Amino acid sequence: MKMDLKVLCKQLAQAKEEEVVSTEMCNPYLMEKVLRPLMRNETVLLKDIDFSQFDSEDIREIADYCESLEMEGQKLMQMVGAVANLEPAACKVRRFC
Amino acid sequence: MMFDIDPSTFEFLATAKRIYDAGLMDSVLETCGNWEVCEDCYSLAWEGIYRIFKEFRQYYNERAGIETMVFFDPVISEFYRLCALYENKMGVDKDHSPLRKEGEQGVYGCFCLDAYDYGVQLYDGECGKPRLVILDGEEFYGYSELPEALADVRDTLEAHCARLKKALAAETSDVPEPTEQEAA
Repeated sequence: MKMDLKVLCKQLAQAKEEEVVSTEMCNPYLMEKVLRPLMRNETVLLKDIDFSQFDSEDIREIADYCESLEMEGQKLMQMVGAVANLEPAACKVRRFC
Repeated sequence: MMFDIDPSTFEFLATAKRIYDAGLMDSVLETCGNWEVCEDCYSLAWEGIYRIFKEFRQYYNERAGIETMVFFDPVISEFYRLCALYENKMGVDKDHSPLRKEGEQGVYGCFCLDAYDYGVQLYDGECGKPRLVILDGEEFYGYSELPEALADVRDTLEAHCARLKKALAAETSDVPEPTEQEAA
């Protein structure tokens, strides 16, 4: 596999910033008060959760979201691995005097 | 890996939500408030299970691999006291008493668990105290659903007690209150 790093950087800079997995179906309270703190490795205690802010279905939705995010993360890591394993190749033509 | 969230966190949250919906969270928080959401959900479920009824006993038969949970509560005793009173007034046998049958079926209907290898039985106190017994085997994994089911049992029995009192009131204006021993 060959990859032009200059093109890759340009395409990454041009890429639109967007959510990899939609949070549209996720309960905002669970996202902000439970999931995001856990993603930051922060402690979430039982007494700090307001259970009136969500229902059982919301827990399933957020678990599905987390699973999808994990899968996307794995794909990203595979790509990172592939890029890291590329052998550097010298340019065929001189780029400077 | 971008982050690492233990999938059991969601089981813990679901169990905690069931406990909250069953009206038991305030009591559970007294001892488990400082638990992290990644703790074992079965430990949390047990905190709910033994708080619903007044008295709880548990046995484990190691040879058979069967666990026995026994619940005693004034609402169970009251249900059977009122059943007996109603049957006496109406002159019907307990095996043919519609209100007793409906109440018991209502209780059994509370156990639609997403689990197997368990059985539920109500005992009316003909032998021992009135009680609810759950037997479960080694393949039973429905503990996290039990707090909600048991809370439903409590609510069902309360509703049927009210119904029995109404039925009795229609027959007579004098429904004796339970003695202290019966209530216990």
